Amino acid sequence: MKPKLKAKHVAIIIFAFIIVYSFIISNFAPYDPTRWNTVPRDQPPSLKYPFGTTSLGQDLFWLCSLALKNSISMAVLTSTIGVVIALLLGIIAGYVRGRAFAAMTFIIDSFCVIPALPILVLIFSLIRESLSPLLIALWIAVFSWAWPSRYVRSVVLSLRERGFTYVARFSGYGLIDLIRYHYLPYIFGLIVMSFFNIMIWAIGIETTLAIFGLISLAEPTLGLIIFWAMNYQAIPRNIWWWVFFPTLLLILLCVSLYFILLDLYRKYVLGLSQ
Amino acid sequence: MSSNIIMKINNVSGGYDTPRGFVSAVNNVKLDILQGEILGIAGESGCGKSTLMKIIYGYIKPPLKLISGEVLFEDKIIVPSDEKFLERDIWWKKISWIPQAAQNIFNPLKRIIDHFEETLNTHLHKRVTKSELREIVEKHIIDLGLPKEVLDSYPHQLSGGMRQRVAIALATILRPKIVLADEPTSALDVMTQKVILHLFKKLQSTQNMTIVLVSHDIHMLSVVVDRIAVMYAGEIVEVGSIKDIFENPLHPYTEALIESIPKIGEKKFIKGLGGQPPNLLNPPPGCRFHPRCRYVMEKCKNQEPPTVKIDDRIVKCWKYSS
Amino acid sequence: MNNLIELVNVSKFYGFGLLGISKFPAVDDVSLSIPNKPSIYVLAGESGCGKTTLAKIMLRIVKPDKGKILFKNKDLWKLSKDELKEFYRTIQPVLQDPYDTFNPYEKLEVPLLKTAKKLLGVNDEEARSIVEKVLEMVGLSLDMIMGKRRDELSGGQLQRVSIARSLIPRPKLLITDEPVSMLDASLRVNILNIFRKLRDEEGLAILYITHDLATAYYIGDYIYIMFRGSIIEGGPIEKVISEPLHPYTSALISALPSYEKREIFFKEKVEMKVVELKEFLLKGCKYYYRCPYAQQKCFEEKPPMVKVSSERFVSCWKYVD
Repeated sequence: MKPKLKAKHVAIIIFAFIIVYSFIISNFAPYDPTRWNTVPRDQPPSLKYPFGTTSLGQDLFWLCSLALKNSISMAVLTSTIGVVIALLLGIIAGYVRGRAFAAMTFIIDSFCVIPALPILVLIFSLIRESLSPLLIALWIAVFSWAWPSRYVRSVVLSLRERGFTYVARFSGYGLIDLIRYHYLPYIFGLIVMSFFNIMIWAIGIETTLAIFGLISLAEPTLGLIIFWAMNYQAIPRNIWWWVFFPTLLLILLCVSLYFILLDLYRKYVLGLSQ
Repeated sequence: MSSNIIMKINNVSGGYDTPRGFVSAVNNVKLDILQGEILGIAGESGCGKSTLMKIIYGYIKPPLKLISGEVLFEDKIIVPSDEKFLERDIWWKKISWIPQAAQNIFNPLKRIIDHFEETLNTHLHKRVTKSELREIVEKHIIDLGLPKEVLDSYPHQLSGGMRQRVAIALATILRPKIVLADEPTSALDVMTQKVILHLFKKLQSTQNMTIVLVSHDIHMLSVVVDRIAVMYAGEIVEVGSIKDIFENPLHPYTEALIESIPKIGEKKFIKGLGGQPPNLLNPPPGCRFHPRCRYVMEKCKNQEPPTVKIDDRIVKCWKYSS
Repeated sequence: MNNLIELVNVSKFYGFGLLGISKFPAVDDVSLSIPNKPSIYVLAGESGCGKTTLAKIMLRIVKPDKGKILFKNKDLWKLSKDELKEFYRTIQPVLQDPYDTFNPYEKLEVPLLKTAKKLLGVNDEEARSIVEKVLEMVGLSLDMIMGKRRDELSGGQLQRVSIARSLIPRPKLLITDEPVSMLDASLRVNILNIFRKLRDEEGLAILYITHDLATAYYIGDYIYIMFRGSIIEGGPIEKVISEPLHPYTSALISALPSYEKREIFFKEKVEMKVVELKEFLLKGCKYYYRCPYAQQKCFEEKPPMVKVSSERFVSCWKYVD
């Protein structure tokens, strides 16, 4: 029986290519891709310059590979911070009762509802000068944990009513043991999914903020490249490749992540309900 | 109770297609149901009694499969047949099925009277006004000993027992000839159980309804049924009148089943039945009960026993044939 | 004689209706004590009578709204960490659904060994021998369950493992909530025999909570009958069953089916016309709507607990004065 080629296989292949391109190949750049005037300006894509060159004299191919690495790295950092917070707060919210429960619910639900983008625009425009990749990741993470923590909370709430939770107390399990042995297997799948989910969202947010010129960094990200391209009027000047390739990479990254996420969803969430 | 046969189950075999193989849930079942009787089908979980009910009713959807055999109702073949025919002519009108946990079939957003209206409007071929309909339903409900208030309640306002009684009322509103009830009292307390058994007795005596009761509780069956068919591992191992079964059980499983269930007033030590019901993916060779039988002989281990007729009883066991 | 656990005027209210604002008592002013002696105490009642809630209160899973629970004469909800550990070693639960007792991801020997190590503080080797011993007590062995997950065992086998787990800390009281109702009819008696053995050979006290009076009779010594949140009768099981005092107890017993009763079973009718919640909300005797002896007094005031003999008591106006 021939194995069918499914969306998730295509997604994994694309994602693999992206990782190789951004993390491995970027190390082999023959020159510093961010420096100006290392190559002739405004060259269209060719064999010598596969992605063309920018108006600042940068090789887009090597520039994108570095930018992609930075974008992904920041997204991973954001996601890690967000997932850790979601896990902690979700478990606490699912576990406490009475007033504490009401307080936690209020906090989590508020953060779910707060519109992240406008607030981040505000914050970043104020602290633009002192931004670093770590700070960017941190600030975006602040708005990323709310929805996943709701999932974690609801899973913990339902697990609390299960027989094996009571029995575990009578087996001498403490709270840590309970979480580790009984709850984590249920939560694990959700955590992995949330990780990818936040990554996609974080990339989108960071790119948007960059395009609006709210991120001023020496290290390039995909959003920054597009920002610079728009700043130099790339489209009216017909330097279409300067916008096209970062956008294409952005789309490929997010779409491949999404299909991987979808597969995880099928495995963990739908599988869990069986 | 006449000696007319209203339903004939002829050598029905069926089961489930699962990823791990075919589960032979019902194996070569032959059973006649007499008109106006209350027939009990006794057996434990996994014996195939619910599957048998589904097949008799004609509700055969994958992974359930009918392998062979047929079911005749009033001498006409109803299984296997076209689902549209069953829906139009048989279901609710001639044969009604009350599945297990019927208390949970109700739509939580609709009142009880709405459920009745829906059923009647779908199956009655003439138009009735809302008030005429209400009258019909009220009379039926009161006949069955239920309080009128039930009609205006939502399902969650009623207890499990009350919902079960409503389910029986719903299943009998069109006066079917046969009612198939699967574990009608299993989740309920004894008092509600008594009320429900009384309901069935009433349906039998006032409307000459034929009732098939499926249950693992052989003592519950013993107070209300006329005959019992005992099922084990997908097969009918014994059929007889209630008196014969209790005073003189023939099949070793029937014997063990009756013995091993504690009865009130008795504290004497009961040695239960050892072992487990067999895995129907791979049933044991010969007699399916042989691994747990206290009378097991060499023959039982590799030859399937024949079904023997003794007076008006039936038993499938090597003890009774040579 | 000291009591293992004592409930003093315990009540628990649940909400109903719109937004759950109105409250009804699922457990209504219940006082009960389980003494430290090898006996099987039955708590019997219909489903919905509050017995599971009462079990959860005794197991410190649900906190009562009124009254208190005393463990070794101390308030259960005010125990120190060490005293709580002592509680978990003395009183153990056996749940109705064996599949809900174990985590589907765990191999079964793991929670057993962990229980031994955590509650008794023993090392790996000792834990293993303890687990081997308790499994033997329920007719199983470590080899039989090693490496298996809960879905690989039958209900009957899994319930035995659940009982084995509860025996690990050498408890004095097992609180079992409908432990056999999810098992096949012919296999129930095997588990019941285990309980009898535990009482006779290990000196355990067992609280057997059930709606099935037949199995209760088979293993029980004392019985408490519960109805709509209140305990209405109690005493040695043979006496209560053969000469019931409370009208509800009589009705319950006469509703038990058996082949011998076939001819007379339907002679006495049971009327059940009232919606359940109404009965819970009665200020007086909860059985008022169904009782053939009901008087105005029964409607207005809840009958007190009357001691009819040294071991029997009943809550019914018929026996006052």
